[in-house]
This record gives sequence, structure tokens and C-alpha cells, in this order.
Amino acid sequence: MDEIKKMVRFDYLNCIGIGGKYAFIFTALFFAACLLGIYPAAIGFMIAPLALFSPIEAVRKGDFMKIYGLLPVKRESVIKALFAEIIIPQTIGGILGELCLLIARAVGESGILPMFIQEHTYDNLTANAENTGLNYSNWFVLLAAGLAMMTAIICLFYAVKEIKGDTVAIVASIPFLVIIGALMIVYFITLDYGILPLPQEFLPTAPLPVALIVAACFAAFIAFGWLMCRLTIKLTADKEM
Amino acid sequence: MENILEINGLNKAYGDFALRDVTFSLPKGYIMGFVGQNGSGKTTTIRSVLNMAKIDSGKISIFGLDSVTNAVEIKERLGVVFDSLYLANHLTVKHIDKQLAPFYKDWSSEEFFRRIKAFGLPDDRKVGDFSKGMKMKLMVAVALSHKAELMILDEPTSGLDPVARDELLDILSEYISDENRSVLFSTHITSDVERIADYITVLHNGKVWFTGTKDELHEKYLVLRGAEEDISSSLREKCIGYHGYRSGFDALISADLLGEIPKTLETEKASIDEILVYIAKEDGHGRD
Repeated sequence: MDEIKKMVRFDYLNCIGIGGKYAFIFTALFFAACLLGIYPAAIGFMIAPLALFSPIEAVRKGDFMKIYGLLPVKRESVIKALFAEIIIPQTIGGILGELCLLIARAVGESGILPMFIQEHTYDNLTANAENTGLNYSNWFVLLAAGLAMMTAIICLFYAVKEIKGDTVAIVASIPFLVIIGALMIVYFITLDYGILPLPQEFLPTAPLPVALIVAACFAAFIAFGWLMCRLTIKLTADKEM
Repeated sequence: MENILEINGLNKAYGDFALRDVTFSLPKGYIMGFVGQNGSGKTTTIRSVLNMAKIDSGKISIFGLDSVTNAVEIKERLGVVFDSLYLANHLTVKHIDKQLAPFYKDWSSEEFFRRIKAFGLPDDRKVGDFSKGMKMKLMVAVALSHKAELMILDEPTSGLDPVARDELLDILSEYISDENRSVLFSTHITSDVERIADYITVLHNGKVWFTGTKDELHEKYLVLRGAEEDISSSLREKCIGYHGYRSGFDALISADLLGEIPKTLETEKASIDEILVYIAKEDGHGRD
């Protein structure tokens, strides 16, 4: 654990000056939007953690990679740190997003917002729920499911990248991105033609089932990330650095 | 004499290139120059020593420890300098100190900044903006700041101007004044080896062609020159890199054969440069 903490600290020191401020800006923006009743902005918490991770990725190439072979740490600690840098921020981002949805609902229902903001943000969005096929409770599940899917793809991408290299990782990610794109197209078509049931028709709205689904999504992506981490360690044990 | 580094029977194959039965040792308190043509396997050998490349067979010991099973402990006591910077370009030396300090039990920030100052490196500029010579010195400063007992340098003077090269060699000479430290540096700039190395290992086509002291190398081989009609065919067969041309020939020959050389032929001490050239020529005897 000590070695992993050192590696995470090492990686974040490489990029905190670049990505840290953007992660903070995104978080502040999405939080502010939720405070104004614009609750779909909570989905942005799927993106904010990437602002922390992307600069690490930008630095980890070329001659810089030699440092991972020179530092007195076990190779598996380098891999564990990499997956920790993905999963932990995504988890924190997800929790913040879910909290912001709760805050946005509380703010919207409390009536503390000035009327001209309330009617253009929370009230407007709630009234349009039928058009989107999503009622308020569905957003909790949508955020968790979206986060789980995105984190799983990122973990898979980095596992393949460490094992087989950049090109294979990009090629391996494309089918997943195509599937997600196709699912989104199908969803919007069903909205217009009513072919499939809308999310608000089959997703639960009661707090406990929603909370269980959200928790299950978080558990799923954390477990998947852990699995990808173990697999990567096993398959890169003899890989050259 | 205690060896700080021992490589025994190292074999490693990559496609159509292979390190074959590489064996040599570096005693404590000495500098070894590791020379060979480009592509002879020097960097592969160093990467194998650092456990950055998986070897096919053989054993590597550093400080008496196995390079694979004790890799972490070894790296605590090892300083490495590559021909290119392995630190993030946008960081300053202050960031680098903060980054690296937690990894080494013996890291001294005081020593690091003392070295930075002594080497004339700015502490508020991005290291990516440093010149090549400054980057080399930075990597040396990192190595010296955690009391590394063995410094391994892979082509450290490559691309440096003569002044920077001279400074780097002075730093290494000062480093080795502590008898408990050793240096292994690979290079194809043989004048650097002539200047500071005590031991030399010559690598050619993935095999160790010679390993021993610099003096032994100079005493072991001679350059032979003369008219082609003055050399017997049996002696010619024993030459290395025999090169015939219109007015004569030149070749490298073992000093053990001095007794067989006719007086009409000239001999002179071979420099490391000449030895490398003749070894390379041995792969295809030339004739003009």
C-alpha cells in the first residue's frame, strides 16, 4: 500500500499543475449548476475526474516511461497505482454527482431559488421529463450506469494498453464506443416511436431500489477495475519496460 | 576483489539479434567502459541489468543480490543516467525533489540542491527546457542524492559538446574517489573510455569480445601493417579485420603472435577505437 501511495503521489505531482485546476473548475461548475436546479449537470461528474487522469496519461509516454523501471518499487505497484488513479477519482466523482442530484432536488423543491431562475431551470427540466423519458429518480441511475460503463471502458483500455500497446487498446475500445453510440441512437428513436419502454416506465423511483441500483453500479465498476488490474499485473509481469 | 556487478551467461534474443553468453564483472571502486558499435547490445545488456528486459537465461548479481528477485532493494542503491531525460519535462527541480524523495530511504534534498547549484542548474526552470548537458547533470544529481553505490550510464556523453562531456567525466571521476562506489558506462565514444575507465568490456554482435583492464586490452592487441607479400597466409588467417589495399595491408593481431611477425612488418599499440574498427571489419574482410 505504501508503494502504491508513493506511485499515485508521483503521478499526481506530474500533472496536478496541469489537470488539477481543470478538475476543480469542472467540479465547481457542475456543482454550481446543480445549486441552480440544473440537475442534469450532475452527469458532468463523469467528466471531471478525467481532468485529473488525462494529464497523467499525457505525460506517461516516450522516454519518461523509463522512470517506472528505475524507481525502487515493485512493478505491480506501478499497475495498481494506475488503476487506483482511474477508479478512485471516478468513484469520488460519482458520489459527488449523486450528492449534487440530491442537492439539486432539495433546492428545486424548497423554492429558495429566485422565480426567474427556478422556472427556467428546475421547473422547466421537471416539466420536460416526459420528452426525455426520464423522471428525476432516473437520473440517479443514469449517472451511476453511465459512470460504470465509462469507467469500465477506461479500465479495459488501460489494461489492453499496458499488455499490448496503444494501437491495440484503441482498436479494442472502438466496438464498445460503437455499441454505446448505437444504444444512444436506439434510445432517441424509441422516444419518438415508442418502440421500447421508456426508462421512466421500467426504472424504479422509490429511494431504496434506486439506491441499491446505484450502489450495484458503483460496486460493478470498482470490481471490474480491480479485475482488470489483477489481469494486467499477471500479463505484464514479464513485459519489458 | 569484491565485485559490485556480476553478469554470468546472459542470453537474450530479440528477433534477429541476440545477446549470447555475455559474462563480465565490475569490481568495487572502479569504472568500467562498456563499448561496442551501435547495435552491439550495450543498451540491451544495461536494460537486462536494470530488470527492464526479461532475460532468456543467465544470472545477474548487483551488490551480491539477484537482479530479478531483489530488484527493489537494488534500485535503492543504484543511480542510472540514460541518454535522454526520464523525468516529466514540465517540472522544475523543486518538483522533482518532492517526487523522488519518498522513494529512497537515503534521499537527501540538501545534497540534491547542493548538486543542482554546483552543476549550475536553475531551480525554477522547467527541466524540459534544459540543454542536453544540463539534463545529463540533472540525472547525475538525482543519482548522487540517494547515495547510489553503483552508477550505470547508457551513452551519457552522446550528443554533448566537448565542454559538457569533459564536465560529466570529471563528475564521474570525483564520484569514484569513494572506493565503495563503481561506475558502468556504455559508450561508443572511445576517447571517454581511454580517459577515465579502469576496466573495459567490448561487446560485438551480442557477444563479449574482451573484458578486463584497459591496460590488458592495450597489451593484448597490436596493429600490424606492411606489404601484403610480407605476411604469410597462416599469419594472415590469425589477423582480425585484415584489410588489404594497393600499397599494403593493416590488421589487428594478438600480441601473443609477436614472435611470428616478420621484421619487415610494423606493429604499434592499438587504441580502443582501432580495435572496434578492426573487429567490425572482421565481419567482412575488405580489399581495395
